[in-house]
Amino acid sequence: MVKLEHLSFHYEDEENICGIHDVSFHLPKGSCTVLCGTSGCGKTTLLRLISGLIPTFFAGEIKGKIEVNGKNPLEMSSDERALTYGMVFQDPRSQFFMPRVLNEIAFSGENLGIERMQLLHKIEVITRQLGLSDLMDRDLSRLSSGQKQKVAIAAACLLNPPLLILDEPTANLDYESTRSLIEILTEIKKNGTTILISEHRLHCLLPITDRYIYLKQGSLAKCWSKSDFEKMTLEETEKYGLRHPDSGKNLFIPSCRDKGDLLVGKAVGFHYAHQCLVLNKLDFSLGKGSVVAVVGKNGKGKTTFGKILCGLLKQKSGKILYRDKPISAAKRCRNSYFVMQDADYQLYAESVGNELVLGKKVTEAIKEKAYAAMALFDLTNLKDRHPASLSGGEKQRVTLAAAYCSDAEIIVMDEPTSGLDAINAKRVAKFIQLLSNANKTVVVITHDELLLRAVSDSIILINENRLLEG
Amino acid sequence: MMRIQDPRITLISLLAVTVTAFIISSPVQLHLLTGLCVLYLISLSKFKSALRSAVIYVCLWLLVSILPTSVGSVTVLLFMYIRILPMLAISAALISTPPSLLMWTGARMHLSQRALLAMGVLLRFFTVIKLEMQAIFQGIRARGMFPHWYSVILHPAQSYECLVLPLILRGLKLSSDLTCAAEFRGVESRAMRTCIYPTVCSLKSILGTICFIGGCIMIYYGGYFHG
Repeated sequence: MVKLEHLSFHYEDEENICGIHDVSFHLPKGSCTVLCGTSGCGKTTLLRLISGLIPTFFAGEIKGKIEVNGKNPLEMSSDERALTYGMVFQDPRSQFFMPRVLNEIAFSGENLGIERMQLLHKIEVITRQLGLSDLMDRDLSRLSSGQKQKVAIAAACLLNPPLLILDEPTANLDYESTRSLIEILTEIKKNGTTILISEHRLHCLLPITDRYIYLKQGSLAKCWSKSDFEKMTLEETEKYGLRHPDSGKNLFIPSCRDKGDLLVGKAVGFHYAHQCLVLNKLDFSLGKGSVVAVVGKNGKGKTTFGKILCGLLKQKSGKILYRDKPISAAKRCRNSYFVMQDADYQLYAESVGNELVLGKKVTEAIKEKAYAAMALFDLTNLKDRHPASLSGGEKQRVTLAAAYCSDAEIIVMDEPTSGLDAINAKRVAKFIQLLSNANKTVVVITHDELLLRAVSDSIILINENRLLEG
Repeated sequence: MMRIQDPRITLISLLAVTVTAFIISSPVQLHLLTGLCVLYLISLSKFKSALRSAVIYVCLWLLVSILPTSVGSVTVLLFMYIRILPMLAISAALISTPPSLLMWTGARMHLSQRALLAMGVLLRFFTVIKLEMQAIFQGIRARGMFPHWYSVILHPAQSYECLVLPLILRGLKLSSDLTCAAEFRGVESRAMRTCIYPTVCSLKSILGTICFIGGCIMIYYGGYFHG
């Protein structure tokens, strides 16, 4: 289905981004292959080459040969491309063209001029297969991450493309949604579709994967069969910088939690206007300097809970106490810091240094704290760079350093390791420990087992609205 | 599947009101044109949009009449907004139309592929811009900046910077992701677009549009003779 022969590529203007060096492999029809490797090893570049986005959208020099379904992707017409590829990007939100589920799934068929009744039949088949029939009239912005992922797959598979490419499909999914995704991909694979996945969470894909291809600095460094990969120990996967189901176990250091609770919630409830209940009578307590993980299924209100803690939203029922006294949402907002999943929403200054002191009166003490934060979070070399010019991981470090510099006692982080490899996820765990050591209470909203094991003193399980001590 | 009114009918009305709004000169004509648009929305059972347009129009006129002459530039901006309000009112009738139906209509009207893609991306931006703005405001508050509602007024330059920079970055990312995604969705296909919605062009809507155009002509010539 896909043949690469001595394929090399380097980007024209971006020397920092890894290219591809002499990669050769072929993907048999109906197989499932996972591309793995540390962040920046060339996985995305390889997907762009196979899909033909390079050189159409990303200029550079290509050497070697690529063949997809017997054709060079560059020679394919728009129709051929739509009929050959099903593409699911890491963040499905940014690939949706339409506001509603039905319109989004129908979009490719309408573009290709498929007759109305035939198109409706195709939509019915794919939505039944993916269990989306009840969501057809729903607004896409109101779906959970798992549901959005399903819609993106349905839209990509509407025309039965022979090749389905998924870029980090489990990055934002909980355990159950990941299992559901695997079931869907199993069905799609049974239809003879070739599946190519770029991913960091590797072991959950074992049920459908035939082969793991490991890239290192743009070269094909290793290739494992499913059974060989399954047998690999924690030490072996760590040697390659890959995740393992037991990753993070050896990292845990209990936080320096002092006596007494900082923030206590009693029967906290919340719902959005015109929507069913999100949080119901949630009891919780956060100790000063502790690290608390918030877990639960997609769409169950974890981020909403984090926003309530930070005072960005006000609870509809129940009480929140700060050092045993009721505290308003406005005061919580002044006393906390919410690190959003997408750092682009929270960076405003013209340099990293200024970002850390933004909104504060710049005194010598503040300057000293900012320099200390830059040293701790490996940002000293980047202090004069514009935040917009940084990589995703660097931007995230800037927001963490800004949290460190702030006077906030409570820091809430939303999915901080989403889309990170084992090495970088462990780095985030280290930064969380730094914040905890600075006597800040850290609340981490996550699906990542590595992070849970590495940092959490206790866990709040949102599905069942209860606190589990770790 | 439910039949939807052919958007071309509303587009003709939009064209008529756009031309009329720019060629009329007296406030009375503008009042009449806005009233006609409100009636048009009522005829389409868009009661909320009709009420909203009427209330906004009245409030803006009241505001313009009470504002002191020293804030001339604000008055000019308000007048410009009042002038385009009838067009916005008719556009409101198009908002509930599925974007894919609008693109299909564009294809029937022989718009180029590029124009259709631009329309698709623009319609997509309309739906997400509010959500993006909300997320950015939350991001600003989440960093402990502008803790009070009046903080934005106290630091207008900084609030502009904090809002605009992330909005530009998000807009650029979204448009580049959409352009990449479009490659695999057949947006540039040479085939004639289809649409999952069957359209209808009822006698009532045709008559309504003819009356609307007639009303626009009467408003224009009424003002001409009056003048």
